[in-house]
Amino acid sequence: MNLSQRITATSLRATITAIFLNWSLNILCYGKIQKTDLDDLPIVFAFFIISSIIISVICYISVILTIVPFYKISITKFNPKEIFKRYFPYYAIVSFVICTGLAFNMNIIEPFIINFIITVFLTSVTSWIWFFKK
Amino acid sequence: MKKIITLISAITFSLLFFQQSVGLNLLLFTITTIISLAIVHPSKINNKTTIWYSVIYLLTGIAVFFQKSDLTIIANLISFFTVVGAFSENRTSIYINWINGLYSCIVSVFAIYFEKQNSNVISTSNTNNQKKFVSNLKITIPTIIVVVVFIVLYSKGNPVFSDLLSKIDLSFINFKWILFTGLGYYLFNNILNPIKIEPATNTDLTTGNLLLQNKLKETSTDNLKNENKLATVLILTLNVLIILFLVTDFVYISKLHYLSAAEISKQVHNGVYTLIISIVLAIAIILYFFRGHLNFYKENKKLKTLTIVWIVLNLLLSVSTSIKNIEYITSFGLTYKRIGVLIYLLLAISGLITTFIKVNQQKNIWYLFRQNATIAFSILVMFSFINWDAIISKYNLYTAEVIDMEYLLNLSNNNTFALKAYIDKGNNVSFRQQEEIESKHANYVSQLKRNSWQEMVADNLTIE
Repeated sequence: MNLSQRITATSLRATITAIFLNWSLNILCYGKIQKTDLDDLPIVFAFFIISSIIISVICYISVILTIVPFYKISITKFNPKEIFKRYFPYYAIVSFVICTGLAFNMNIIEPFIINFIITVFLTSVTSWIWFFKK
Repeated sequence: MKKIITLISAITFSLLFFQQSVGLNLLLFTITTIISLAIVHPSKINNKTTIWYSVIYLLTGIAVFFQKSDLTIIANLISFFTVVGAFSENRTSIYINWINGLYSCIVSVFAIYFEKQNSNVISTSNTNNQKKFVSNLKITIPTIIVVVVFIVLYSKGNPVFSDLLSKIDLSFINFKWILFTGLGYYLFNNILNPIKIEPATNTDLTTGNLLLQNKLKETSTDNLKNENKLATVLILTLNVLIILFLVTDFVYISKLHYLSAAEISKQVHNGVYTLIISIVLAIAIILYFFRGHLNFYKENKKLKTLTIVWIVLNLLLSVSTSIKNIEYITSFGLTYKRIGVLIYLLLAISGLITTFIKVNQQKNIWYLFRQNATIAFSILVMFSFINWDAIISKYNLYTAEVIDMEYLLNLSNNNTFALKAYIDKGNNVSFRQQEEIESKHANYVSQLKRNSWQEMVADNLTIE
């Protein structure tokens, strides 16, 4: 698999994961859908489409900025598995610390913010696994 | 077995922490973690280091129960990472344990999944596990169905049994609770499968504490001679400078009693800032010159003696700053900042002593990191056993020359009983301060009474 294929495949998977995780966590946290909510279905659908586009752009940029540099720097010396073992632990620790720091420093503790942070962390971690797999 | 323990631990986690603040639950979580790890990894718990770290972890859990504060919670959290790290690899330095522990706790499951996906060996364990899982399902599902049928039958046939069943309250189970339990399962799945950061762990395991001459890059004798000269002149000059500074500093200390509060405060702060820069620079310069061949150079005796003298003079600088700080505390009472200065001085002194050992016994930089990380961890753990709020309050109320009651009132609830005892003894305080102490006491007691069993702390036992 070449680099562009890796980027495309990982970004696509990351987008699907992020959309699924964020929406399911929010639905679980904010409870049942009321009958009256069905009237707003077109707005919800439009919001879903727009948010999905934004998420996919963010995922693509995140993969290029936070994973590809490690790959580019080390691919001449190590194979993808070795690159993963060398850098993934620190990446995971740093992203965990940043996400936890954000969660603790938010003035408004709303479930949707926490859900967003959980989604960011889990998506970034799983993206590494997809990007560096055989 | 491991899955059952993970599931039990996850449910315990959820029962302990779901919509609860910290208290007895953290101690119980500590015990659960140690027991789960010991059951799943019996061979690793026999190791002395692991036992020692587990005991420390348990003690910090007890400390949280006896005096809940940010310090005790941080000490408990760091001990937790240390224990998990020790279960992944117990021969490494303590800071590698921390990193391994944190790494295991956050993404162990993902790393293991990646390893399985990318393994070159086609293992039969995966298919075996799937077969086991299917056979377990074949046993579990019919058992659950039959048990449920019998429960329904018995409850219809026996009113007492039916009454007993109706008393079981499962109303707390909702989506949020399930999500939280899922988080607990993820956490325990990570903890019970501790992993290590291989490059860092292997480097640490293969690096000893001694500097080995044959592993150093070769250098010419001329370079070494020049470096020795430069180092000797530089450290000699720094020695003269620090002696001058210390003489003027001790003259200042002798006049300390005649200084105003603002002047002493300025002096203590200046002294500490000077000390921070001086000691960090001193250690950096020493490490730079003693990084390689200069340790083994035959004509380095002068340089070594000057370095040791400089370390001793830096220690004297720490002592002079300690005297100023203690004088300040005697006059104006204890505060967290002043205690912080004492802790910093303690760490600085230990840093200087380990640098002295490094120079004297030809140790490497890793020796310094290992020793100082262990010392910092020990100080953190030991200091977490002390109820600082109560000590600050008692010292300031009964010994210090000046009482800053506003400061004491703004401390955590750990000093509430000390303040209440002070006014109950009939000591003189203003009416407003007495009211504020009474209010703080009443609020704390009512908060203690509202605590659920998970949030209980040692003070709950004293009010009943």
